[in-house]
Amino acid sequence: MKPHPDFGELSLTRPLEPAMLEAFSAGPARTLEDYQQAMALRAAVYMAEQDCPYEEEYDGNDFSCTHFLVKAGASPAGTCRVRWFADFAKIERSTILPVYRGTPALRVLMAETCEVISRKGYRVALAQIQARLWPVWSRVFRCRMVEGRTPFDFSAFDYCEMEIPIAPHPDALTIRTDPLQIIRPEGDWDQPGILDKSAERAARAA
Amino acid sequence: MSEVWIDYAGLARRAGEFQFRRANFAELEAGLALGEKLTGQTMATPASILWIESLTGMAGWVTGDPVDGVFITVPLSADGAAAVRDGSFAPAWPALAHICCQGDPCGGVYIGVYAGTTKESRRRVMMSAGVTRVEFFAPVPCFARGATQDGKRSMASLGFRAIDGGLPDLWGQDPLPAAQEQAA
Repeated sequence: MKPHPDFGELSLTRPLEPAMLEAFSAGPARTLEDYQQAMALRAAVYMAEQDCPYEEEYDGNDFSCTHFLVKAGASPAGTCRVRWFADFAKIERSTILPVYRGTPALRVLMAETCEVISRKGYRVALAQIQARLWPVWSRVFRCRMVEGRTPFDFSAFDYCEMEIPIAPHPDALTIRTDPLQIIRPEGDWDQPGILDKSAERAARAA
Repeated sequence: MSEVWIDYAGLARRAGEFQFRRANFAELEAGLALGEKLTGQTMATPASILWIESLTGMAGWVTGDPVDGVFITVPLSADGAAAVRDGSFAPAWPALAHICCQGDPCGGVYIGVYAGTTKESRRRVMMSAGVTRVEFFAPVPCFARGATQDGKRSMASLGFRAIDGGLPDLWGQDPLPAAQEQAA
């Protein structure tokens, strides 16, 4: 069973309840299928609902980031992507299908996303949010609006910047983390991966 | 409402004189387990205290190796101090706007836990709590919950009194008079 995102949930205004994690599961996209689901969710929400042009939605950053998915059972319910900078992570393209809005899907997605951000050693995340949605996001995250910045707009919406403190993870990955642990699949660093098994094979051959 | 700028280095130095140090995660786990055992109360999770500690730079303090004393103190923003009084402050999961992040002005202090397993560690806890209160946070109010009868007695001895209308079992101490501050 997947561990509770003890550190990621600290970025939320309230802790997750066990039932939320029974109803929804979230984590990094690891397969082409996951990736296609993320793109389909964004097409449905941004292109269909918000009338965002295709070339603005798929902006050239989708192969340079980590996508996250939240699912209700096997059904994709929402997605976001994270781009990684030197000392901050940037959460973008957060999307929940209309049918799952008002459910814990968004909270589970963000807790698991922040858990990975925390485990990677980051201490702050940045998000550019549609200014009209500040009341929504400030109820999801323990966050603050970045002060002293000029509001900006693109794709026909006004935006502002939101800063989300990320909890320090006691087992944050570092440059001296076990080499086999660090090459395990993103977000699944505590389970032996396929390359751990390959190391056993090499040991047996020797 | 009065506020104070926290002298973080001075605070750590003074706490160190009573053999207190800022706790890492494992020490917080041990300290909070100790607090739960001694008070019979459910504490905030170590992860939550670590989050507060990381933002405030002064929340989680322990003494002893292995840990035999713990002192959790949350610096509050002015909004946070008001939230303690009106009951909207969530000690185990405070709103970001209610805590005094490192470098911001502090509008009050909330003492979450203070407990020690031995007579000596309890003495160190009480001394460090009292001294840091007077020397670093005198201009602002201080709050705590009366979890046990022993706790209530020790708070009363420090000049705290029960406050109605805020968090359950809330006790508080007004800003200290300047004369007391200067005499410390």
